[in-house]
Amino acid sequence: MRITNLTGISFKSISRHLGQTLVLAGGISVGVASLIFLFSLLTGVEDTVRKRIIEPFPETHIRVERSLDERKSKLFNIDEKLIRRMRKRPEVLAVHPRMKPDFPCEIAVRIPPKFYWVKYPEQSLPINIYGIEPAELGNASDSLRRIFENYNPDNKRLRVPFVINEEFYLTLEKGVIPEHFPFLMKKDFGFFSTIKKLALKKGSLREEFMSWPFRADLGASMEGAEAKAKIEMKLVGFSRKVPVIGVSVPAKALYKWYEYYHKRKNRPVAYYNAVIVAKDPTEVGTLVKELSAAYHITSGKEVAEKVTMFFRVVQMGVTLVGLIILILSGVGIFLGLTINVMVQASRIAILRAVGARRWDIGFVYVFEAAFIGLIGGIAGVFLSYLAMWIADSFAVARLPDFPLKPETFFITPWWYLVCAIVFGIAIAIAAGLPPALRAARVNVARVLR
Amino acid sequence: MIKLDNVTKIFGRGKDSLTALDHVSMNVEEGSYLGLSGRSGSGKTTLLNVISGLERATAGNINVDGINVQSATDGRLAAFRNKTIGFVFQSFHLNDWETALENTVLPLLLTRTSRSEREKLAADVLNRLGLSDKIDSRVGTLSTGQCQRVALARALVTKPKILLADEPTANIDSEAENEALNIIDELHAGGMTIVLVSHDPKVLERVPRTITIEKGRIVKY
Repeated sequence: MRITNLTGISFKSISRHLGQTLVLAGGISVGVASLIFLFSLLTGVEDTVRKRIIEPFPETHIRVERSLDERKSKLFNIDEKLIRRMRKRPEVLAVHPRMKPDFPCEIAVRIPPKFYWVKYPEQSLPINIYGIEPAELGNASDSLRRIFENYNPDNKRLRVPFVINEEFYLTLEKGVIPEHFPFLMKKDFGFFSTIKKLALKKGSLREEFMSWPFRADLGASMEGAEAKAKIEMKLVGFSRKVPVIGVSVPAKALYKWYEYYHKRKNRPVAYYNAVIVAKDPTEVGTLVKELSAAYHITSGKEVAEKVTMFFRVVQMGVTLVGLIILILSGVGIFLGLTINVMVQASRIAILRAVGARRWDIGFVYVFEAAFIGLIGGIAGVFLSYLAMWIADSFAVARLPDFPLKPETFFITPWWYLVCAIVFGIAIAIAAGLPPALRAARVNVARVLR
Repeated sequence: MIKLDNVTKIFGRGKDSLTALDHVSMNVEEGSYLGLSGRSGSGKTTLLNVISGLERATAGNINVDGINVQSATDGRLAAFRNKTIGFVFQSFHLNDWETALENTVLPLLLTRTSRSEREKLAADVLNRLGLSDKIDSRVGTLSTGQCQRVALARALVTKPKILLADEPTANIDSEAENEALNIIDELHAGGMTIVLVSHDPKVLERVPRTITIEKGRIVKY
């Protein structure tokens, strides 16, 4: 009863100074909104980075390549010996060499009823073909992996399966490629323009895309060389585990193409790069130490650690900025309530004279501060959502589309909102404590004289 | 009811200290009506303040209605002021933006009285003091005499045993002064212990017994 009545006294004071209360709550709301906005942005960006960089490259994985200079001078520069040696190591679970064809190889597609050559007489297309082991598809769907595993290159009736990167497909679906690569649209580049038209018309290309006939032309070059063979291709799915730009076919297909093109039976003895999968993340350090003398090493663990470290540092900075804004709002509350206490000294003294304890007076002002914090916190949540909506809208309207552009730059778990409101209230209470103590210590006799 | 024994109150320290009460001893019986007179700065208000526990005496013993005011905790003193003491101040100290009822009900907010009960008690007191038509009026719109009656109502709403009135008629006209003093007389007749501070001889004429204070000492008892 007593607490209820004291809160009633607080509310009377709040309603008496409603304008001031709203201004002070506005200060807290800006602080709370800043915290939510910054943390949501950070979480959104971190989530995108984790999904697109860390998850496809787990911490048990090590990518082995030659240095950049060495890679320029030679296409296949990870030799078979390293692959064999690594496969014998007890701490290694698997080794996935990745290949690139060392001969002209182009992809054509028929979008009914028209047939498009994915080649351009003046420009070299950024479409690569990679050979990958089925195991490298990782957690891609079982059906997709089964098709790759069961592929038999000698069976002429089976078309060569290939996959494209899921993220790249999504950018195709949005029809953003032509805007991002305007040079592709200089002339009548039918493939992308048709895809864009279809994407805009249908909304989802997936089923349509899967039904189109594709063809690999071995030996056809951008400069106009005729194809030596045409192989029917079949898009079998999408995976985040394959290179972003290009198409990936089973390694067995590339071995076969190599034999056909070079008229040799022995398949390539070296690879573009190799992914070594350790049995346990603790084994990664030993392998990296051993391989880093001769190769350029990128480990999933190292990437994860660097990304995590980066985001933790940014998070600390963001927390600091948010707290500074909140503390500044707290200073506003401190000044506002201190003025209130000075102005209301007579009311405080009367309350004391008619039976209020020091604690009661302190409670009235702390409650007022907490209420300002609560109102500011709730308003801050709405303000932050408004700011995030504006930022996302701005990003859609003004930022150029680019592959892998996320749908939203913000992720806001519910507990961010709770924490931000609690922080707002805590700062408000902390700022309200000194004025509350001042109120509790008002010299009643002097004020009432 | 009120017993002071060698009470001294000194403000400040060292050379700048001021002795407001100097070894004051007095006894006020239950149901009595006591006037305190003296010049400005003689220590009258300080005496009321130490009786109510609003100020701690520097030395001496103060016992009011069985409570040792000097050693009581803040919580005990607060409850004592709420239940035992009713205060009326020279400048009323009312909240102008609140109604007469809201001002009167203030002491009851610090008790376990329900809202309906609080409002009933406050309205009863205001009716008794002739303010039945001003219950919902903002205090800022009332005359000074009416304000003084609202202040009296606030002091009486908890049905205290003792009324401490500090220059209650200093800021009101003679007609309102007469009304206020009549009310206090009625309260005394009803058995309430009253200590009234005034330097106005006309007011003190109506008080059965008056103590005069000078420089913190009782000079006439």
